[in-house]
Amino acid sequence: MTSPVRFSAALFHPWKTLFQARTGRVTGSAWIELQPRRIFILPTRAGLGFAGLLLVMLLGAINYSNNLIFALTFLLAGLALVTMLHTYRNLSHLELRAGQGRPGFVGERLGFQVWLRPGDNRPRQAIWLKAGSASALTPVSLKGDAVWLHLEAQQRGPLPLGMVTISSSYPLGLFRAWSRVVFTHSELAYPAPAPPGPPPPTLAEGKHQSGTQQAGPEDFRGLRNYRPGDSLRHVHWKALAREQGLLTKEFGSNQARSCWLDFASTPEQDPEARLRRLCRWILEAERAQLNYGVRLPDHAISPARGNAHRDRCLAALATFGLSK
Amino acid sequence: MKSPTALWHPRPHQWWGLGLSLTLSAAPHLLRLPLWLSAIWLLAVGWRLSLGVQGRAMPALVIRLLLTLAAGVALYLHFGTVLGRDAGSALLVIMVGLKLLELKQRRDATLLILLCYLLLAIQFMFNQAIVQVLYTTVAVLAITAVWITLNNPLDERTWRADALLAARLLGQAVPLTLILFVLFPRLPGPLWSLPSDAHGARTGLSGEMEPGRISQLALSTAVAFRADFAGQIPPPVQRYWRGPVFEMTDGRRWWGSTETPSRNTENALPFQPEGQAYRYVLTLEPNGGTWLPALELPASIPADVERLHTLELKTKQRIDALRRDAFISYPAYRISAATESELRRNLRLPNTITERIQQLAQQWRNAARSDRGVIDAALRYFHTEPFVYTLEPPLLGANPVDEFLFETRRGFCEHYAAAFTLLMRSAGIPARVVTGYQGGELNPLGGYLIVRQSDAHAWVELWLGEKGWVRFDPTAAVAPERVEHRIDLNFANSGDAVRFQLGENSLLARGLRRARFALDALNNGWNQWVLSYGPQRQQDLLASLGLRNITWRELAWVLLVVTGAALGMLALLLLRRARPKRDPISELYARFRKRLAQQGVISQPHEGPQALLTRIEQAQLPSLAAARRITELYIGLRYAANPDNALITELRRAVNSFNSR
Repeated sequence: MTSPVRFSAALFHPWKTLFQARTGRVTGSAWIELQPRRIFILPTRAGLGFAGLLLVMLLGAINYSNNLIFALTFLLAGLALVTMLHTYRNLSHLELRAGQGRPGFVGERLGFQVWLRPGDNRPRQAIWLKAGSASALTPVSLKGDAVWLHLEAQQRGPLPLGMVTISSSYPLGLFRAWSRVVFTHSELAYPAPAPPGPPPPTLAEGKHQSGTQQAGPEDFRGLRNYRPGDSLRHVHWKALAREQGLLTKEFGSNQARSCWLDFASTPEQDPEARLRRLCRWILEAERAQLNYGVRLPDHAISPARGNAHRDRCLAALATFGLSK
Repeated sequence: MKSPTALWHPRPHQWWGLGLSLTLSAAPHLLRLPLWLSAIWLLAVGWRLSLGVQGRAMPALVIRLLLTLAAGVALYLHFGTVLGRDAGSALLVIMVGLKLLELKQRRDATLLILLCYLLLAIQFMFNQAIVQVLYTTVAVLAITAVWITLNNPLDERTWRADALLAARLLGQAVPLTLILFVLFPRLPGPLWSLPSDAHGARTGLSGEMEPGRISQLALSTAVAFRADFAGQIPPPVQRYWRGPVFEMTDGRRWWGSTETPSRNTENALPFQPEGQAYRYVLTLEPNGGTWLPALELPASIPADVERLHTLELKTKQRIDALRRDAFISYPAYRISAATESELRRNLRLPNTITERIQQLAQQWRNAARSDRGVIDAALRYFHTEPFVYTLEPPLLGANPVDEFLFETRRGFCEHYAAAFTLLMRSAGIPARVVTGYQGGELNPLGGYLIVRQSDAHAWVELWLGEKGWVRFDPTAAVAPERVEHRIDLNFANSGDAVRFQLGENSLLARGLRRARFALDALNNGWNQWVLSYGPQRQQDLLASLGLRNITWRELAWVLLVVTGAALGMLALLLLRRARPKRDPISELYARFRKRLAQQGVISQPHEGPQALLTRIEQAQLPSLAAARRITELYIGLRYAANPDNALITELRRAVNSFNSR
């Protein structure tokens, strides 16, 4: 119940501190509430124009001694003051948290998801979120709403969302209230895939091996426990129906066509170029439905396939050599 | 994703909203403009709206320029100017309509909305009636709702929701409006010189009199002023409201003398009151003149008013706003002082005086023993000869008094007053014409007198030696009803004798009369409380609140503090935090998880209730059975179509007693 006091504190805050970014901080996926003292409000250009109109009307009212123009002028002035409160209220007690984003490659835009919900029982209208060059507009219903902010990745590695400005000038656009929140949450930028080039040397080797083993690609080899990333087509559904658990059928080709994508074996020499080449190979191997492992100087990921596996490999490329 | 400053493409409902706002704010002006101009305006606005709704581009620059130029020239040709109230407001209306043609950005739309408010304000320069205020209230509500719609590009809500929000915003603004209206320091206007048409043409008493002037005025039923008496109301025969007094004439035109100074500086009253005093508040409609028609004769006068030597009241500034003045008047009085030059002036005859007028007067003088006898003879003459009292007298030539007395014999009060004055001067009795209003209708609902322009009147004052200046009303000799009854204007244009409203017969007429009085009482209240509120009333009101002699600088502080307090109270109401009404089942489960965390089992956001239960089992909490029951209840309730209240109660009990091991 101290909010109005805080509100006035924010209103009459000294200018110096007003424009210093007094920000909230969102870590992980916890909800953070926009504290009243962190919300600022100033008139917009339209607001100044409105003030000009009121001045003109006031002069007219005085000059013509017209009480009804006085009354209309004062009604509109009251309206402006009231909307100041409403604009402020549109932001106060709004809660935010980071959602599940979308990683991407360098040069692409990574998707950051931000969830908003009212910390009280009022839905909100026309809330702007802005981070860097990205902005989004959303209403906020009682259930909560998500918005996407897309930021371009300049370099590989985790890209933090950083400072997000939440603002609103609803309902009349005479005032703009804003608050800033720093999101420590980040999305991964994978190295940009190198242009199509030579296939991985290990891939050629693998093909050669499959030739000597004489095993047909569809030869059933046996069952093993399901591992995340196994193709659903290879799940032994009948065993599942018999309540024997999730089992994966192994075929000869699976083993035969597994390969290692090695950091050391790329034609490029520059480490970043090697990573980009590996990235290309991973994408091609996944497309070719191969089992592939990635070997980096400091660690290796054993062969497997599937989107989850691919993302793990790409993430390893993205964070390679970056101190945590 | 759009940025806040991007180009703007209004959606159809936003176009319709803009069109509605423009039409509502321009409509009162369009009714006043020439028809062809209004038609062009409506066509241009309608054209742009249909283009906009179809998502098509605005008209080409050439077309817009041509239209603007053509409208400007047409306006100039019609008004002969583009300045002043009438032409200026017409120009603004046209330009606002044309602004819609070139709408391309959000800020253009905002500008249009602001101009809509301005148009509504300007309309108050033309019309200040209650109906206009009601109309403006509705229009402001609609425009504000449209403005909200324009500011919410994602709005999927209905117009009803926006209108409701607009009503709430305006409703919350009303207390602030009242505070500002009452406390905002009122400066006496105008700040700079006004255009000549600032207040439009107005009817009222004129500074000179000619045959036909007053009868013209008397055709208007417009209210001249209202007088609210504290206590008794004077009887009809005493209801003479003094306006300009005319001593000078050329035989046709009459005007006041400027030879002697005003009598403001005199300490004593310029007359001797005889009999009862009447206290009243006179609310004068703006008349564009400088005459303040107080009941004969006022003892105290307002500060900005001059009492002329002929005892009428003249304001120092044109009366362009409603005035409200308190008076004490004595309908019975004696004006016993007159200077030599004054008496000489009131005996002066114009060069056009004819032989037969002077003969007539001389004949009465010879027959009578005293002045009184001469006067009686003259009044008898008007009464017995076939004179007719009419609102539409025949036109008179170069010597109107002679023509009227001996030929046409049809006239309104100014004819009788002029003729009577000249006859008396010819007989050697100093005489002057007094104009003003006579009568007044009592509004039984409000208990005040309504005096209309149709009550405009002219009478005569004669100098009778020691009795001083005495009022005589020659019209009463012709039509004695004039003093007691109002003229019935339903028969005014027949050219016949004036008919009077002698009483209502039918039920319907009485009902109409009552309704008319009710409406007038409403208008009177409106005048008293709203329109006449100005620097003086503000001072009075503040004085009654204990803030006597407050400077406007102090008043500004008072205003700031009171407005701030009101805004603070509104902020308390608006920003009070209302707890979210979340689902009770989720709330209870969240409480359960919090209690688990206190016991060392910290749940993860992604963890479902079953997975959490598995971990509780692994952690081997002593309250395992309770945790099992809570999980079971939660899952059951969560997926039930209609959660059972008894089970919710059980869940609550289980959660609340969860860690009391």
